[in-house]
Amino acid sequence: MARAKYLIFGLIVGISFLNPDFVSAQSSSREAEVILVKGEVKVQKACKAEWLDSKAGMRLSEGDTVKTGKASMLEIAFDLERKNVVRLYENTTAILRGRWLREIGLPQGRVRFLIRRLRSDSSFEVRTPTAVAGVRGSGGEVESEEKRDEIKAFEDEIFVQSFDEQGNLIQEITITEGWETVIERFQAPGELMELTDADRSDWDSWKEDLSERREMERPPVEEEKGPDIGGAESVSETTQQQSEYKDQVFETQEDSRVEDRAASGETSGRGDVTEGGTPPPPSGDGCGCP
Amino acid sequence: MNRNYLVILSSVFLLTCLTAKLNAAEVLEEETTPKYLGAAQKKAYEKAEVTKKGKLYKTKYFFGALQGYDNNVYLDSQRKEDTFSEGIFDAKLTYPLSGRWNVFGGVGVHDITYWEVTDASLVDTDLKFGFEGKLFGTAVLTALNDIEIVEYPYNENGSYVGNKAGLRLKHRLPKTLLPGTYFQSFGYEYFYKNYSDRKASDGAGRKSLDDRVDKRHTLDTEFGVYFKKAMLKFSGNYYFNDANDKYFSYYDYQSHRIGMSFIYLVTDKMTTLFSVGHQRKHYIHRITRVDNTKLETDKIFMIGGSLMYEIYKNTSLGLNYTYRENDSNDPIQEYSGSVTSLGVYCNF
Repeated sequence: MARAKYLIFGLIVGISFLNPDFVSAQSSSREAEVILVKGEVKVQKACKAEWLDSKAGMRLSEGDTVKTGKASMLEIAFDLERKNVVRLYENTTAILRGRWLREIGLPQGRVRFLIRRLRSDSSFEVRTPTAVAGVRGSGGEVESEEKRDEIKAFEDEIFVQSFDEQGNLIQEITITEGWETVIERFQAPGELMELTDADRSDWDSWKEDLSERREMERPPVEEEKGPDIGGAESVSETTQQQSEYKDQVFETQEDSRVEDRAASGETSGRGDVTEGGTPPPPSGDGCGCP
Repeated sequence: MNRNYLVILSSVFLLTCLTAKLNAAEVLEEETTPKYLGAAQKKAYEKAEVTKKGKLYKTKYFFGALQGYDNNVYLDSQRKEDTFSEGIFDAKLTYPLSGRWNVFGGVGVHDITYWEVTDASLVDTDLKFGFEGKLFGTAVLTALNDIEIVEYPYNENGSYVGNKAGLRLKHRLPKTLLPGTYFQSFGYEYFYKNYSDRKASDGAGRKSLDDRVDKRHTLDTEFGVYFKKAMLKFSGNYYFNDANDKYFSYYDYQSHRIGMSFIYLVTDKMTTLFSVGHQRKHYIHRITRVDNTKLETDKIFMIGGSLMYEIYKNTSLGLNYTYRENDSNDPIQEYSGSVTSLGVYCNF
């Protein structure tokens, strides 16, 4: 008997793991999802020559390159709950790197990132041709231009490394929240400068906008069901309700039975009956039988 | 008199000019001073957000019109059968208070009209309101108050005014960890019913002057899973009904119910529903009529099925069948009966 139980349990677990949903759920953590596209944005899948138009909902994986045109923009989420999000501004080229997509190559352009959920032993990095800006859970922005990089820390801290022409590390610094630095090509990071009110306000607006869109785009909890069975559930509830009405009709009829029992002289033994126990024989002339 | 008019006119003119000047000064300052630039952007953003939020009302409507056949209307040994017409209307409006909390309200009317056995005809009107909020992750807490008026137009004994108040916590497990979307919920509900046209009996079975009042405490739980094309749900429910009827405490009982329901999308347009349930009612003081040493216990078995076909977008045709049977230790309480119905449902 015990063996049969284990067998059934094993079968259920086995079937669960074989379910295609489960397989795709596991692999989805290595993919990013395009959540917002404005203007002209092209994607080149890894090892492919053609450039595809980017659309919301598109999946990106390691090695994919994204290019935004003039007055265009793209946002990518790295997790289902959209806690890790990157925005690519106009005229930006970015390459997704790393098995877990923890790195973005930024040959040119401007990216902003909000990273809230990372494993404690990992970091998220943006690499320009001569600098690396990395975070372990915070928000910032990196702009890579022809002769310099600009790095801003909006939340927590960002570590910044700059490299020379041979790729040797020149200096590593940490920028704390509210500050920015400029790195001229192949130079050490420049002096820290305070972010402007406009910068901060812009960042706050983006965060609020992200949060609002997350709430708006996420279907209400009841609708997060997979299949659209809202109508069927309503019918099921209605059937349940009908069953309660039948109970009510049945109970209404019981009233006449109470009258019959009382008329036959059967009196209530309430107070003498212990719960779960055996009630005493009813007093009076009634035998208690119909 | 003329002087008064002049004074009033001058004052209005001055006030208008002053306001215009103040507005001009504000705009000028915000537009030209970098200090205010961020604030102005934020203000504009907030204004846009308010406009966006205004569109976030969500409404849900459900209509149903059915025609059916009941082969045991009173659920007794006489087995009176009858045809009936049924109408259902439900409306729900949800308004977001913040990112996490919603307030909702709704009305529902459910009418069943039996063509001959009119005693069983009823109109059930609901007025619901409550709050729902996301607590942490994917858990949703719902607080609900439901005022219910059930009226039996041809049998006032059954009519009552009720009020349900309850809390429910529903939790959905992340899809990333498990196949399908698993969910579980726990709820408590207090249900107060006042039968305004029905008097409670005293210990001798005589009608007292007091209206019959029932107080019901319910605990229930559900757990299940949504697959790509199906939903499987198990449910358990316990309640204790405490009525003020003193004759054998006739309506005091504990009920345990377990059930299972399964919904499957056969095709894009066709859906099947299947449900099965078992309920036990243990009466606290009511003795059986065949053996006055035994308390009454009812074992009710229910099974149901529906086949729905989408004829238009949001409109479905549904064929329903339910069967219930009571296996009681008091033979007079035993029954079996089924209801078959065909209807049109709209859901949008």
